[in-house]
Amino acid sequence: MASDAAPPVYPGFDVMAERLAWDPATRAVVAARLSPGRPQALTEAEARTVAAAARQLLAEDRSEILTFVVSHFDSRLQSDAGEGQREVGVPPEADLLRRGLAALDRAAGGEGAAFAGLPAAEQRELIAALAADRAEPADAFAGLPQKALFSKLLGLAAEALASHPAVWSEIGYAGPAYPRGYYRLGRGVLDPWEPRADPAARRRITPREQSGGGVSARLADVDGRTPAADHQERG
Amino acid sequence: MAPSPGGEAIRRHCDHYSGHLFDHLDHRKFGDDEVDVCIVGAGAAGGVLAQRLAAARLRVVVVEAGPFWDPATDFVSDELATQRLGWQDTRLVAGRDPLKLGHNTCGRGVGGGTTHFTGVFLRFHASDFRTRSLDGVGVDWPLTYQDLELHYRQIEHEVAVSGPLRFPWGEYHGPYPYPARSAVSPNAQVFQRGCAALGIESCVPPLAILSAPHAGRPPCINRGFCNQGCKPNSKFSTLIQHIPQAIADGAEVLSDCMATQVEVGRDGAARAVLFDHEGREHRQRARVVILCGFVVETPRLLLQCTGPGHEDGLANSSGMVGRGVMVHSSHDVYAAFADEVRLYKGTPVLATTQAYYGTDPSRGFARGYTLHAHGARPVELVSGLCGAGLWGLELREAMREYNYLARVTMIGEVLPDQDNRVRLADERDAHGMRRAVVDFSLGEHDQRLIAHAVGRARAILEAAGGTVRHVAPDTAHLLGGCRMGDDAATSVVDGDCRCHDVPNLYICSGAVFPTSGGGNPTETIMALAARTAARLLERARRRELTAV
Ligand SMILES: Cc1cc2nc3c(=O)[nH]c(=O)nc-3n(C[C@H](O)[C@H](O)[C@H](O)COP(=O)(O)OP(=O)(O)OC[C@H]3O[C@@H](n4cnc5c(N)ncnc54)[C@H](O)[C@@H]3O)c2cc1C
Ligand code: SF4
Repeated sequence: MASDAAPPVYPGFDVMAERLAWDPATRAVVAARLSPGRPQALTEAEARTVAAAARQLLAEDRSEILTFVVSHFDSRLQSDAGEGQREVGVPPEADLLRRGLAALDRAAGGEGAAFAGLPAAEQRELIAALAADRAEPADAFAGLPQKALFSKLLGLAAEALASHPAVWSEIGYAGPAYPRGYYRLGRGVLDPWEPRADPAARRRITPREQSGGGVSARLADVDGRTPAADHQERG
Repeated sequence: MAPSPGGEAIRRHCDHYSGHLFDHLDHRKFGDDEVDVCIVGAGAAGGVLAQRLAAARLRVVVVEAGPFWDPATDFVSDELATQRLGWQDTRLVAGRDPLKLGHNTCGRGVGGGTTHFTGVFLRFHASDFRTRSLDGVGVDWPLTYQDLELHYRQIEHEVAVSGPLRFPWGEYHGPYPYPARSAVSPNAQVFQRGCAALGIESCVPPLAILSAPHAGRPPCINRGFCNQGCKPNSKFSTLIQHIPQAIADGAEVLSDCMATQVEVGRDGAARAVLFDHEGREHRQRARVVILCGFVVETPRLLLQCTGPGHEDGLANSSGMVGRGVMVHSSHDVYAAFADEVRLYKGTPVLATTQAYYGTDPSRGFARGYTLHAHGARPVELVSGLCGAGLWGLELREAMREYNYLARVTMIGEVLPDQDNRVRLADERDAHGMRRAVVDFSLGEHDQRLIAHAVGRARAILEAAGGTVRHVAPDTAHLLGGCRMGDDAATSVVDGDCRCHDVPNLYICSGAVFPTSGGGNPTETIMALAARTAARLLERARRRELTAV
């Protein structure tokens, strides 16, 4: 997986080492992510399905991160805060999640956490099919808008991922900043508490040139260029 | 009671008046009285109105749905834990381009959207008020730039806006009360470099953020968390400025109180606001009611107030309540660079251009847009990446490039369309109120404008040496839904924000905008609120307060 194969871009940087420089309210919120409680709203089987789906959605193997992702789903199910917005025709969040997780297990051929038992490649295929609104067998997903389910799973998983300190350390995000802010602001100058990139890292993290994924498609959508033309222009 | 960032409930104060703070409603200052003015919503407009009217010694009660935030403990330097600064309660969305609401566009709690706004503080241009006459699109406002000029100036002064020596566009070029922010973020430097290479003028924008101490508040320390609430109070909000002033001048502010009805007398005039606090209904009588609940909640409230003579909702004889909802188109363009940029550093917006603001017939569309260099933190980045279709390994690879990305965000004018609107769903919320449905689709004209702006954003990033990686479609800033106008048949309020149908009912917030302009709207909302307060006070002096 992306996270442990390559050598780190910010070797030796652990954002948590800066925690004493953060205000107490923020410190408490962030530290809690490192030791999430056991799920209370999710059943054990549902929690395993969430973890397995998140593993594929996020290309992430580390159990401490997946555990936090699961606890984020769990706290959404316990909270009475709303969803901000929900598309007409999509079931309310708790319903969408519960029925969606069960549907993934059914599509994987069983009850309980059957999805978690599938080989990784098949899990990925099923999720890709969900994103494209053509997951099989269709009757496993009867009455469930597949794209909405995919977006809900991905949205919750990704916001948890991007809130985990281990991921901050990995991407070189310096994390919370109060009461200490930033003072050396010019391009290329760093405050002493910011992460330092391994000079050889830049080459390693250039994404494979657009392979016809979502990004190029969007570029074509918005300004009428084809991904190919886009490629040429970049040289 | 509201959850703390850590999850446990904090007991909060819900009744605030000078020298008094209560966590219940048993010691109301104005409980049984008929006050002069009841304001619903303590956001940008509601805050300014409360401050102006209380300073004039009117008896004012403010009813606010969300909590009275404490920046020291409620704001944290974290994206996930501050989503609750937005209006999270579920709205239904529909249309070709269903909107992202919540934290993205709507505030909740004292301060409204100003607690987590970015602080970009721009005046509209004179042409924004006359798009129909000048460009044949949208509608003209019932007032002009000149009508707001004085109020823009006053608001800038009291907020101690920091701004450049010379702002190149629009009617006003400075000076600003405080100097421009001097340290410019790396992302803003990239933007300036790209603009300079292409001969596009750019500058540090006027910001509602201190560049030097003011009123006991310190200057900004460039932490970059403006959208999570400013902990040092360097950024203006009505939570820390106008509402405390209103309280000092005698207003009573009720937080965690959701207005559910405007009660109408037999004479057709508004006479009270009903509100829900922890499951119990309360009633505030008032001679004048001002709805400052923003774009979705104001029409939602009016549409549920039905009765004899207003079967289709209060103030809705025109059928326009809920119609003409607008956003700004706000695509984000990300480009990768060989050297690090670090989007987390500095106030999010420190460079801007309005070079494409006005109509240029050669572009094939009317009106225009603003481009900002705009910082981003990890949750915002992944939300954009997921929106652009990435997941799995592709998502992770894109995230690893975070510190090498620069970003430009557009704020584009979206033309009013009567089919983009707020209506009521059958589904109900915890207060028993019908939920709002918001229909939204971008028009063909809007799409052409977006394509142009994305093209210019790409050009700027490429001229600075970047390679465009992602274009994430997005929107910002809700507007409209209770349009102002001179004609009672096609608008809800007049130029003084007074309802055509119900003369002692006012609506003042982004909801009354007939068109969206091509820049951030809050200074205009606040100037409009200041003008509304001035007009209302003139009427009060002439003893027309309880009109009809
Ligand atoms: C992330 C973000 C960044 C932004 N950045 C900028 C920027 O840089 N520059 C800019 O100009 N603008 C910006 N904005 C927009 C700005 O926040 C809004 O334009 C502004 O706050 C709107 O003012 P308002 O008075 O119309 O409504 P609001 O400020 O939203 O206030 C409405 C208030 O009414 C309350 N309310 C609603 N219904 C009820 C009810 N039934 N009972 C009681 N209370 C109720 C709400 O809780 C809220 O507090 C940003 C917004 C967001 C979300
Ligand atoms: S960047 Fe400045 S204004 Fe924004 S939150 Fe931080 S200190 Fe406040």
